[in-house]
Amino acid sequence: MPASATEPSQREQRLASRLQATLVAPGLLLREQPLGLHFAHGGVDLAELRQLPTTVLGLPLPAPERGWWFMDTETTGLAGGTGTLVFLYGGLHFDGQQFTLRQWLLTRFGGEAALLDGVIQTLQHTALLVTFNGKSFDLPLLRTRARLQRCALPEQHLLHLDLLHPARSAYAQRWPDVRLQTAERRLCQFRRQDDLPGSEAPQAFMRWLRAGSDEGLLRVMDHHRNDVLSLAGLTITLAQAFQHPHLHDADAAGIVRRLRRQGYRVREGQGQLAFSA
Amino acid sequence: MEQQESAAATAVGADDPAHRLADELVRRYGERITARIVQPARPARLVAFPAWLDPSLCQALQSRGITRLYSHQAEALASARRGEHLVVVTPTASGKSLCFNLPVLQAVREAGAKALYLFPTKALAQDQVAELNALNQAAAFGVRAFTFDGDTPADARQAVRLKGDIVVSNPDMLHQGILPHHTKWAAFFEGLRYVVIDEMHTYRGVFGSHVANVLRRLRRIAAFYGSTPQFILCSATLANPVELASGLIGAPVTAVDQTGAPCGERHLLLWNPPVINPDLGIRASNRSQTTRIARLAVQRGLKTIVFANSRLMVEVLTKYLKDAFERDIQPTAHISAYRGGYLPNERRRTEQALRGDQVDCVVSTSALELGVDIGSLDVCILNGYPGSIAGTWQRLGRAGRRGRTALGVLVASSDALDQYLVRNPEFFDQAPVEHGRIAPDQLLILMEHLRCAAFELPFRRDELFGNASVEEHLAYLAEQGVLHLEADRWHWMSDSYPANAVSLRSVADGNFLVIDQTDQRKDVIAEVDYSAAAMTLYEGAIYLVQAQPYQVERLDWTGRKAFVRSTRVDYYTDAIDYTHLRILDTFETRSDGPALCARGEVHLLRRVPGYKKIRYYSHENVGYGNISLPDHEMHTSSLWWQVDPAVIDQHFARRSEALDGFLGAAHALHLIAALRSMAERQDLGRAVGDGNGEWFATVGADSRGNARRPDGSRFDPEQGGDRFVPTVFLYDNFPGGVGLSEPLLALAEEIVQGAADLIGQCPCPQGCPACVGPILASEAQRGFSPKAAASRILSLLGARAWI
Repeated sequence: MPASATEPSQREQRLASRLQATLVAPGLLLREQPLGLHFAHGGVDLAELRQLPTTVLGLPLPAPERGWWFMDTETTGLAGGTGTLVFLYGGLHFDGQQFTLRQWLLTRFGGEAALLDGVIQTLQHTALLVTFNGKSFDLPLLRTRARLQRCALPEQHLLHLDLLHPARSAYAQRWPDVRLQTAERRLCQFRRQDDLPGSEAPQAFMRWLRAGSDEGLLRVMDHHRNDVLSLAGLTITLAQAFQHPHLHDADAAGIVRRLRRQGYRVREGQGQLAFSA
Repeated sequence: MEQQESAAATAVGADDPAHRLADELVRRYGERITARIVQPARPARLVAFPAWLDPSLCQALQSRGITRLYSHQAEALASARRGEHLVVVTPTASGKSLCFNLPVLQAVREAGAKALYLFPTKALAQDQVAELNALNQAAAFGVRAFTFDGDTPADARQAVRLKGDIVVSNPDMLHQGILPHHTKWAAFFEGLRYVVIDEMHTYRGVFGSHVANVLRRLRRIAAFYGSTPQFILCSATLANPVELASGLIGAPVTAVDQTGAPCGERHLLLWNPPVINPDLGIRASNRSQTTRIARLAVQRGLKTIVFANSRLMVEVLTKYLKDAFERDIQPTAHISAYRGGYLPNERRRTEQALRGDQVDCVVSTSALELGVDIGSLDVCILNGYPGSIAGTWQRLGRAGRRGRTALGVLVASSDALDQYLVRNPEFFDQAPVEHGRIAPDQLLILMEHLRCAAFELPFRRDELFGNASVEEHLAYLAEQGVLHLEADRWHWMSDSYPANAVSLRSVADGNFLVIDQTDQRKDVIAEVDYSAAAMTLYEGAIYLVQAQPYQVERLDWTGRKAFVRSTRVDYYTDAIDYTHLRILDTFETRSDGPALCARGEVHLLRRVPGYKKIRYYSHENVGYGNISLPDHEMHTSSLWWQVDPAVIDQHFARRSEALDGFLGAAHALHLIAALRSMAERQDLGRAVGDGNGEWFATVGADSRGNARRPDGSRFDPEQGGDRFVPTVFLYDNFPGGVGLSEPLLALAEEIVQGAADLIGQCPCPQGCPACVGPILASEAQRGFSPKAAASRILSLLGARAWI
């Protein structure tokens, strides 16, 4: 049975210690992991983010010192609408010097207001937001949750790089599908081990609520961690594919079409794309 | 929009061409006209604009030629300003839309308020937006009105949500598209001040019960954003508009029901086609009569609208009329058809042609019954009773817009209800008898909407839905794993979007198309209502279209299609319907002499095991076929009548004759009950069976009643002893019931008397399809009259005798 609204239950404390996370508010855990600078994800050294050109995938990038946030959510469903809950929010923060992983996990519905505080805090300290399909899924859903909690997300200052769209223009003609896991395997040589399929995340959360079983949640946390690391890895590799399509088996014509749609002039020569505003 | 300033423009008296046509029809076809009802002209009652009305609004009205308001418009405006919910009940073409547009526009101008308009159809929504835009342009007060429905393109939706002052939609869209995404509409809900519900009388029965729950959800979401909108409802004439309105919105409402709009004299002729076969009670088709009257009207230079009850009949009548005028030597008249299924721009063209007087006669389905602007018409002909008195008046209201004499003609079909109504003109002449009923707390419907509501917002533990506690219901949903209780709130926790699983009008949507594939054709030749499909479209059935037989070759039940081929046979087919009811619980009983009338809960099992082939004229049974359709089983509520078996034996020589009497009486009781309760016919079912559940009655191939046990074996009523308790059931044809039986029990005496009148007034000798249902020509020779048997049963049930 649910404990009192403010006191953490034994099972919440056990979950926190298994995750090496902290109970930051009633019903909310935060797991924070500093990852240093040279972090290897598959075959990619994430420190290469520092060598990116000033314009990547058609977007002029702010300096990493102003905060880059590779963000993803896990939800109770894909249906959308007001009945879909974000139970895990988090990402990889990069400030130019080091990476920090931060994951907020609900242990009860009552923790949602505090989770949204976390969302607002991170977005305030973010200049560049990187997601995979975040424009149509994660961000609208967070906006809905914020409305329901009678708050609003700070979004005006954000530059949002949704990797799904550039990935599609470069690889829709090359790959059977352009999902995150396909992209990370092909571009970052990252192979997941014993990964929980994303579609099973809702059940894992519901099993926790109903029966207090935390096995599934531990795996959801790892799955989510891999997702956001891949966002950072893909930012590097996709940027390279946009510059040298032929070296990365990308569809040069698709890339050129996308950049032209964004208003760039594109020249092609010696297997390299050069573009200017 | 144009309002008559005075009744002086009204042409009165026998010089008016429509009046002359009415006289001519009565002179030439007097014996076919069962009644002529004349409503006198009514002068306008006008009042000045209230002083507080926004000046730009006054200016907009003036620029459209409106300098004063009709009294009912002013009343609606005042009532809305007092903060009341209101229901406006006035005739067609009485300037009804200003009753809601004025309070809404005033609130938009005064306070930047938002309003939601709900219309039952998309076409009406588009018309309303056009009207609002015209008003808006007249004074440029910058009010933005948009439609929001399934046709709104995705990229325009955002603009509607953010910029719309008035959003015009329908209940289905509110249910599936708006409420489950209410956060996107936050600004709209925060400002929501008015909800306008037009054509309220269409929200009754199962559909109305759904809509009442959608409105509960709407009020709940509005409350979340801090608003408590006022409701303005508009309705055609009903016996209980205030009751229906307050049932729909869950709050008291004020009635505005005295029209101040002027109206020319109105003549209504009730027209019964002549009898061509007195033994079988068969009358000439109403199609030919309708064509004849329409042709006369157009020849007299009168602009005419003909209403038909199906899309198919619109086409048939249009062809008949075009053919008729082609044969005439005079210049060809312009005949136009209008119905659902035509492309929107085609319909707009017809509407324009009608307004511009380029069309002499339009043939339409109910699509033109409602507010679509088509200008003024002189004559309105109804090819068959539209199913409700309210609908009849709405259609008739299409004629006589500009205060001239209007003529309406209701041409009865051979359907029993049509026949009853043309013989009882008081239904059109006196106070309305139709009640709109809803049952918003019907368990299945309520549960579906509780799921939707919980998805939209968590429930507080003590929260009311409608005005009732739903804690037990929510606990049940939690047991099902759909909700999760935490700290006194029920949270949605399922990976689904419940609104998609709930259709507000599941029954009405399920029409079957009949597709003719003769000679590689793929023509749709008919539409069949869902409730009738199992009985008429089974594989092997002979389906008749205008007496041409087609055989059903394949029935695609899920795709709602029947594939048929033209054929030549000397038989027709009749499905065997085993509907078996068992009384589970009695809630209320009334006893009157030897009869008992009660209501309660029943179990229903319906099976269509096969069909019979019956030769024309001789009515021999020439074969059987099997039908493999799933059994249908449900618990529902019912009203029933029973008679003491000893009394039956006193009045009938044989029990089988009593059974025929019960079947005939049931046929008539069903029609009258549907009429009185305004139930859609598919919402109310009828059956005759045993009060103990041992047998049920069917009409056999010989058109005689058979008693059968649930396994299909014959039951001999003569052997039943005291346990022969024939029972007429009128049941709610929806799992769990929709609350029809309680009001029907209150009306039981009137229903029994109405059924007795229906049969007693019918001129047929022994019974016919228009009173007791189909019978055999040979009955009279046998010396048995099903009609007399039915009348005797009804008098045992308490009716005053006709014989």
